[in-house]
Amino acid sequence: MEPTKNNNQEPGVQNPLSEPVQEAQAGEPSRTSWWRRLLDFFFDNRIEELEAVNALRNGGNSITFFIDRYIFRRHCPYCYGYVSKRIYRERSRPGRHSKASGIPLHLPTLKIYECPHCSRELPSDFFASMSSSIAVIGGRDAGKSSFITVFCDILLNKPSILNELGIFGSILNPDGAEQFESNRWMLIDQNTTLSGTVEMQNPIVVRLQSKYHKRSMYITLIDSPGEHFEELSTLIAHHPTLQYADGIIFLMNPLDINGIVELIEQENPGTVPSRFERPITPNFNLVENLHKLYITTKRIDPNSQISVPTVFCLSRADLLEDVTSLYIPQDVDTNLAEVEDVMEEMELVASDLHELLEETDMRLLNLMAKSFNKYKLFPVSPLGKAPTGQAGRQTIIGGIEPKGILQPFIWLLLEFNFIKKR
Amino acid sequence: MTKTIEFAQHIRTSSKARRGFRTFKRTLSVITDQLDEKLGTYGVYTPTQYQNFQEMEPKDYPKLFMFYRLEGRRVLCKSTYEGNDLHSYPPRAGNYIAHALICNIEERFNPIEVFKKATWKTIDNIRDEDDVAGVDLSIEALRVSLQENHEDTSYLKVLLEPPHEGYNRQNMFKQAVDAIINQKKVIIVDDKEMLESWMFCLLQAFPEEFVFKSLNIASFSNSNLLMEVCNVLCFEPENVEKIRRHSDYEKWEIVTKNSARGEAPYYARVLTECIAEKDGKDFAAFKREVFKEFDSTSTFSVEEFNKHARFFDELHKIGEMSEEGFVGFLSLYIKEYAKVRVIFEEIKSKKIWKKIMVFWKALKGEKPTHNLENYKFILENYSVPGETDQLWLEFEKMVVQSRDFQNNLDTLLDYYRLTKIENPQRLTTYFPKIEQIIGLIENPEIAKARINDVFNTISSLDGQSKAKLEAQLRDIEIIQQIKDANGHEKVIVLYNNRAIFKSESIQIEIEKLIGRLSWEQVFTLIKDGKRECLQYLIEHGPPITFSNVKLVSMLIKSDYREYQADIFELYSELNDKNDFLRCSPKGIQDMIFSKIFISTVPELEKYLGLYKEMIAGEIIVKKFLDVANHSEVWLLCELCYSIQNSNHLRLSQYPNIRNISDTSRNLIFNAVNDLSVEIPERYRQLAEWLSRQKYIKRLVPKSRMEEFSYDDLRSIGAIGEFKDIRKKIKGDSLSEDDLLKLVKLPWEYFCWKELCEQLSVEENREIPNLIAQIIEKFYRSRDDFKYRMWCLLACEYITYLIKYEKSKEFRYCLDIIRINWKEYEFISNRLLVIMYGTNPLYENFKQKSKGFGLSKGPSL
Repeated sequence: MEPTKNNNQEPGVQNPLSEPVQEAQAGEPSRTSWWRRLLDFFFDNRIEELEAVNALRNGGNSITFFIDRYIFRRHCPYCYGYVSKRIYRERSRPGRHSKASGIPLHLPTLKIYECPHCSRELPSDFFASMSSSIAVIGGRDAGKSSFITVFCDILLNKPSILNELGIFGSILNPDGAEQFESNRWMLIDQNTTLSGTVEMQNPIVVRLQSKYHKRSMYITLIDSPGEHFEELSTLIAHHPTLQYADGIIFLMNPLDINGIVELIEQENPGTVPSRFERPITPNFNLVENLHKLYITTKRIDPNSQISVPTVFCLSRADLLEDVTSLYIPQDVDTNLAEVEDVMEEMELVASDLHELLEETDMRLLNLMAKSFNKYKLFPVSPLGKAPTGQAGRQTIIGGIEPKGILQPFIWLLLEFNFIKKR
Repeated sequence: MTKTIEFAQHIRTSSKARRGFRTFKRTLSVITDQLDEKLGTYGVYTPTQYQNFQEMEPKDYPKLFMFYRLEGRRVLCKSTYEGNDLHSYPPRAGNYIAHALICNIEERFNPIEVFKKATWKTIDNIRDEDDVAGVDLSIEALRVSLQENHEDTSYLKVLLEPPHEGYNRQNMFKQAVDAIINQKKVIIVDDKEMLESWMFCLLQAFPEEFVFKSLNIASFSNSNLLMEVCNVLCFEPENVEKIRRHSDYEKWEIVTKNSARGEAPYYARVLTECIAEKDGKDFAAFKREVFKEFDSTSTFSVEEFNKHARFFDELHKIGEMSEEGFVGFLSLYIKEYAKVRVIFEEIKSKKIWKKIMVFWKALKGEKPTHNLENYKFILENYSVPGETDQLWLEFEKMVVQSRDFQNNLDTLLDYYRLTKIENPQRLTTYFPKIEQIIGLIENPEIAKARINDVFNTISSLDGQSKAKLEAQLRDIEIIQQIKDANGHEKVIVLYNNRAIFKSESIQIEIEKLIGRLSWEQVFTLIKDGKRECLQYLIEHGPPITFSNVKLVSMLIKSDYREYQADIFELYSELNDKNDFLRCSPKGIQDMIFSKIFISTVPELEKYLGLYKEMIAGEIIVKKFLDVANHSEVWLLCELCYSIQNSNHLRLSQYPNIRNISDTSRNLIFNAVNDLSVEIPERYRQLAEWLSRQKYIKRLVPKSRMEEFSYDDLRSIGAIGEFKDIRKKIKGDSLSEDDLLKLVKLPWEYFCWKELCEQLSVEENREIPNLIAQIIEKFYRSRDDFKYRMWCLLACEYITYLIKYEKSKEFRYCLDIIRINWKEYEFISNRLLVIMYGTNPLYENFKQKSKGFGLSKGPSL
């Protein structure tokens, strides 16, 4: 961390290193955002001296630069790179001729906001709204693609608790929409499990709006091969800006937790192959890698915790329904209508899972508590049931019955102050 | 013939051993981590979502073959869809095996053969090798034996079947081939069953070198990823929509069943027709004939492709071509001898003789760039006396006139022998060239032999030409005579045979034969009465013949004595005066001597050098003594003195003076014997020496500095006493008495220097005052000797100040001691002797007007 790099830092601002990180704990939701910004301000001196930043610096005086760069800072919803309202491209509209005289009408040019890192066009109201990016990560075979697909499907097509809370949304980018459609066709229309993800997918950018307030919120769901998270070097190479995400959904494959596998084995022998036939990637390593990523990229101090709200989801929780008394709430056709009810249910579910993990993988739980400032545990089951093998393809008999998908999102939205308690 | 190529291997698939989709094995010695990452990325197989995917087996999915260049290596990759993966539970679809073979970029082989013969990994292989406990990452390089001329055209037929289901693949193929040779990027959209054939077909459709240089192709793709490395991509219709949004999409040429185009140019059209065996065309022949035209040096321009394809296509049609058509066709290949030859072979085999006439006409329009003998075969194969003769003669004339034979008569005569056509017109073609070449031969023997060759070869030589050649031979002999003659005789022979020289080249000829005439040769010729020879050379020869043409032209006049002034003037401009004088008759020599003017010793020295071989030494010295000023004469005296005393150092500047005779020396000494001759200060000693040796009898005035010499000064030890001068000075300041006590005669300027260096600044300032007081004292006491002595010491003091540039002290001194002109002169004479360089103060001093006037007080 090099505080001297920031030439525009106000005189009198103390070296942020000297302040203990624990002070920046979450308090009231309204204060959270303020603290988060302050922390970002102090801890993010790493942003590369890109052309765009230089252009910004040259474009106005130092005060406007300071405000844009540190107060109203935004991250690209696609790549989490730094973007600014003052970095844009002008595009002239096609010329028109007035009917009477044939004189060309010169219309004012359009401002196209573009991310200087990935060159993607930003939504037109991007700078007018709150923006948060959520990264969906997890080891291989954790069900990230299914989770994202099912979440988008519920958001767009199904009546759910979100509707009750007055939240609605849409997918903004055509690439993402196509990606979603393709997966939805496979998973929901054809009742077939998705293929393993072998290359980086187009991110799906979702705009969430609420009927109770004017703000809208962008969340970016990034689906990438689980193999990327198993080695730190690969993780940095493929996700150079992951540490700028505002929220993390971390999916864990229960079959990677030996204690859980043993439980299933006891209850239903023969359903799961033995550990000698199936490679296991401990979730512990993945969480550790994520923490290391934050340290390596100087996003946090080596001894401090990640302050980004993080949800650890135990995927394929349906496997455990029979084995343990784990309760997974329904996402659709629910009778809950109030935020408080949902929160209550969330607490219940989270504590259940916490107990389960205490029994099966205490080491992982301790690591979570050590590395993360704000985190929550949820069981999720995008498919709702175990698929059955048929001629090389796993099919879901009777269609999917997603469970617990929305809870992680609702918790994050509460953290982002997008959903307000009444 | 087989050859073996070694390929490094890289396999990426899902495995338990690697826990997911990772590199399963690779040849570690070749494939670095970076390359591994890239190979893995490009080899990824993303299956298309077919509507009926549930009924499809993995083998129904199209295979991805890739042939591309990556980081200076050649990569052949086969990526296949394999259904369920091996590492998940429950197993998930989407598994693939991407097996890449990597070799050096310089390797050349038939890629299709490698795709067929290489041992590609299958899912069964992987399953057998896979183990949760781990697998060795490294794999050995794969050796593939290949045949030199492997031919496999099975894919071609599949692709180019007659149109059906809305696909006219022949048209698509033409479009694709044309775009590829135009260096465009191409996307081919076709059904999944056809993609493989497209790739293999295109790999066979071009010369090997082009394939390896410019073709990077993938048989199946469904994202924009491969756009980075490939310039030809094959897509299924289902996947095209996916990449339409890609920014580079517009730059690619899309070949679909709907992309109709006009008739393709030659290469694409002929190639397609050959593959489809239209009108009996043969693809094997196309490969043989057209592909061989390309090698690693080809530019692979679209024109080149079309040109060679057109040749292949139209060669067999020349019988039916119209005259204009044939001329146009021929003009494309007229520069390529091999192709022209093939055209003639075709004409010969099909016996379409009328085309020969057209050929001749076409050739006439082109600049002939070939050797004539290349066309000899035409005559051998086709001789219709009287019909082609005239055309041949014209063509022959054009070739012979445009070609430079570089004195090679044999080639020219070979050309003549190519045909036996008897026509006087040929003589006009060849004879000027023959004449020109023979004219350049210098050796008369060779020239004779050559002319006989010509007589033997050209039997129809007419009398006039014959005479010309014989005359040429005669001329060569005369020129040899001139060359063989000695010295001035050359000129005489040349003059006698002057008729053979043509006026336009006469100067060059004379320069070559005579070169430059020496003065000896010129005067010999004049003496022998051959003035007309010289006159001839002056008129016709080059300027280089004589060192001064004007001078020679005056000398050959019988009344040259009337032009003495002019001759002397021209003589003085000569660079080789010595030669001229040495060889010239006495009359001219006398005339020159009577004119020369010598006023300085260097000039004298020069002339003495010039005439040392003659007796003219005394005359020259006399001439010098007549006009030289006194100082020059004294200098000469000094040199004579040096001769006497063998002072070689002094004489080294004037080496020729050493040769001066005794008589001349006496002449010189006599010249200074006269009382009216001034004796400069520096020569005073010399004059005294001359007087002592009785060389001169005149009176020599005594030198003022006679009594004081440095050695004397040292002998009395005055300087040695300065060491403790401070002790001698009572108190802190120098008094008049001290000075009187210290300063004794002789006391030259350097003594003042020694003294002043020992004294302090204040005391130094005191010196002029003290000197003035002492002079005043002795002046008043009428002690004439001491007064004069101190005046002298004062002058020496000023000399010291000027010599060592003590400007401040000098001005101060002049304020106190005023000097008169006599003293000024004394000081300047002293300075003349002792100053080696100059300094600003001295320059100032030399300008008398500045600050000097007559002294008011006592003077010398």
